[in-house]
This record gives sequence, structure tokens and C-alpha cells, in this order.
Amino acid sequence: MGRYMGIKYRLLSSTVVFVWLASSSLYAAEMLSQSQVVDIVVACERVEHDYAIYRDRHDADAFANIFTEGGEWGRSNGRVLKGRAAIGDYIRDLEAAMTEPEYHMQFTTTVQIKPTSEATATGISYALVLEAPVPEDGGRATTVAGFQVASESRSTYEITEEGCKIATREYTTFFVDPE
Amino acid sequence: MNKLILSTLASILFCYSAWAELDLRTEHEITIICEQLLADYAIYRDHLEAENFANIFTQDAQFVPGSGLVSGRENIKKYIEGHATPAHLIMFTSSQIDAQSETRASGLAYAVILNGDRQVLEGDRPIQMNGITAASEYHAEFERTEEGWKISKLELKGLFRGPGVVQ
Repeated sequence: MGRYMGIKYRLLSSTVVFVWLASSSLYAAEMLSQSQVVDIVVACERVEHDYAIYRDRHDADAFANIFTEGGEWGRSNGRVLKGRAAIGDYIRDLEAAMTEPEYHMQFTTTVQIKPTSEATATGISYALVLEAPVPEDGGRATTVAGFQVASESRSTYEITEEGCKIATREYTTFFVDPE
Repeated sequence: MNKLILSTLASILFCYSAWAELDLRTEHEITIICEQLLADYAIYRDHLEAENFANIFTQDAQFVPGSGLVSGRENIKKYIEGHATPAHLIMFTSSQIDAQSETRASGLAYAVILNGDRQVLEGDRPIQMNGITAASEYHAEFERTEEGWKISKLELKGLFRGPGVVQ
């Protein structure tokens, strides 16, 4: 009976803690001033654009640094890369595995950022990707009939001393080029 | 008499503050807030979150999605509730927000729209798409209300249609 009461008490207290944490996070978000909200939105939008540019240029170190030290990046195959080192290695491996040079442009489009406290935010962003081999004579524009991929990413962010960083990110590809 | 003078002065001060030239920081903040309202429009429309979608508009907002005028928050909510669920992305690109005062702004934004023929959930195959579905202009007016900044008018103007989904 005493043991049952103990479990019940622990369940009740953890529920109270969860509700308190959830409500305090909401409360914290509502207490942010317009200036604070704007500063977080701008910082995290910047990260979304950095993500596209560093990814396109295979700048592995810069790309890894837009994540928190222990950041998690979910890939489309279900694999989750954990930490800056693993994320940087993934980008380096991508470049090493390329059989021919290609142009890759990720257009970051709609970005919705929702600050949840002074130091955290969540976000949804859309990207449209163009991808094609670089022409043999190089330097010229290549021909594409349509886009390669259109996807949605969902992220959580942490505002650190280094600025806004991605703590977790996962994505869903909605549309692909038939070819 | 004193009350009358005081309330007149207060009214003049309010009108002045509403129309006084905005400082750069305020203009910047209004721009970001309005851009985020357009992002909310896209995300809540695409995910068919009717309540959240309706709440980005003023109570008496005018929404002209191309198929006629939808007036007021309640009707805007019903408009979204009546939509089917295929994958849909409104991808905002260029936007120009003009903050006219501390309570009013207007804007023009471009978007590429991709409209699928089915839902795509986690683990589903993506939809094969041959180019875009459409590209449109969004003409918006914004107001600062007691609930914060809201869209008071939004009118879509379609400019391009693409081949879209592969059949």
C-alpha cells in the first residue's frame, strides 16, 4: 500500500512539474517584449540562410557551427547526426563522394520563428533546391527544367553567447523532380 | 473644463505619436513582425491550422484569396476548415514592408506555390512535381491592435501557373 502511494505520489509530482514547466515556458514567451522577439527572430532567420549557403558551398566547419555543440540533425533516411563533429564530417563526406562537380542552390523561402523564452525558439522553414552538374566547359550557367526538391524543416534553437544555434532539426521532403 | 483640455491634449498627443516619423529601430521591428505574419499565413494555411490562421487577421479583416472576398475572422476560419489536405507549400521570397506609423503598415510579397495531389506524412514518398504550381503576389495591410499586429487586408494576385504535379 505504502509502495503504491509512493508511485502515485511520484506520478503526481512529476505531472505537476511538467505542467509547471510547460506553463512557465508559455508564460516566458508571452512576457518577451517586441524588441526581444524581433532580435530572436532576426538571429534565427540568419541561421536559416547560413544553413543554405554553407551547405551549398560544402563549408563543413561553418555549417557545423550553426548547430549547438551537441546539436542533432535528422536526415531523410531516419539517421540522426549528433554533435558538430559528426555534422561536419557528413558534409565533408558528401563532397568527397561527388563523382562530378555540381551546382547546388538551396533557396530558403518561408521562415517562421516562434520564440519560446529569452533563450529558446522553434521554427519551420521551407526550401526549394536547384541541382545540376556543372557544364564541362565550366563557368557557364547550366540548364534545369524544374526544381530538384522542395522540403520543410522543423527546428529548435538555442540563443547562446555565439548567437542563435540549431539544437535539433528534422525535415520532410514534400516534392521532388520526376527525373 | 480641465478634463476637456487634458483629454484634447491626450488625443492630439496620440495622433501625433501615431503619425510621427518612425525611428529606424521601430521601423525595423514593424517590418520583422509583419514579415512573420506572412510566414504565419503560409505555415498555418499549409498545415490547415484554422484557428491559428484566423487569428493572424483582425476581427473585421478582408481576405481576397482570388476566389472572392472573405470577410471577418470567423469566415476566414471557415474558409480554411473547408480545404482538403494535400501537401501545399507557400514559399515566400521577396517582400517589401512599408511601416507607415506605429499602428499601420502595408506590404507586398512574392510567393512560389506548390500544390500536391495527396498528403505527405513522415516516411511517405515525396510527390513528383514538374515545376511550380503557381507564383503570386500578396498585397497586405497590417494594423496594430490590442492583440498585437494583425493583417487587416490580404489580396492575392496570381501571375504565373506552372505544369505542377506529374500525372
